[in-house]
Amino acid sequence: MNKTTSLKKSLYNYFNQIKSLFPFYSKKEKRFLKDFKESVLDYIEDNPNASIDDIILDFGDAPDIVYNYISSLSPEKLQEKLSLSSYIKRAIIVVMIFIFSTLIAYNIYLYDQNISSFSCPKCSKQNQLIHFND
Amino acid sequence: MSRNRSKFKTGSVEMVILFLLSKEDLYGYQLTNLIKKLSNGKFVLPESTLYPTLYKLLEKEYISDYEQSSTGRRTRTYYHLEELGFQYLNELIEDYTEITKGIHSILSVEKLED
Repeated sequence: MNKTTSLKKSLYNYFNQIKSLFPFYSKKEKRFLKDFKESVLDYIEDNPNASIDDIILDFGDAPDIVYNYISSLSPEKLQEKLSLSSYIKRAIIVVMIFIFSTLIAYNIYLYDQNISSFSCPKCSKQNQLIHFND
Repeated sequence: MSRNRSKFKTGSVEMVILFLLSKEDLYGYQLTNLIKKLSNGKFVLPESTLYPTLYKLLEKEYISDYEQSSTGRRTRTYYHLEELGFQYLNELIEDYTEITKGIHSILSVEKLED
């Protein structure tokens, strides 16, 4: 693996780590990551022999970057972002529970249908006939 | 006391950024480099603090941004100081001068009196 490919891979992991550490990820954080990447590329342009360690030394490690970013937000903005993020998480959980319980209910319904068709084959044949007639 | 005076650290970062933008339009990496260079390495502003501050200033319309193509397929986002930002910069400089005067007078105390 040559040096450029290895740096590209390390940078990819570095940016992904930063992204994964954000407790919220909205349009602003997406823009931040884009601008941050641009700054790193500018740094590489100025220092063509820079390694990933040099980059981390200059820009900070992923937890430091996310910590600095969050510390720079105003308390009002931070509260807004955190409450929005927890609201979205709660909404996702509610939707998941709804989908899951619907699936269970549907499976129970199918199971009951199968049981009733086994216990009363004539009824099931009649049902099938009715369906065909429809 | 204005709100900025109590938010000394945030105010100082905003002041430095706005001051440099009052000289010319700059992009993020240029700003961090200039701050480091002009302060002789004594003031290092990480990108993780710079960008959220720039977004805050953009939101308040103190600055504006525009994209300009650079080397290859890359584009750079330049920041430009607006008139509103210029007024805000003057307020920040005033506040900064007042608070540093206050700190200096604290530091010049030789003995505490009851």
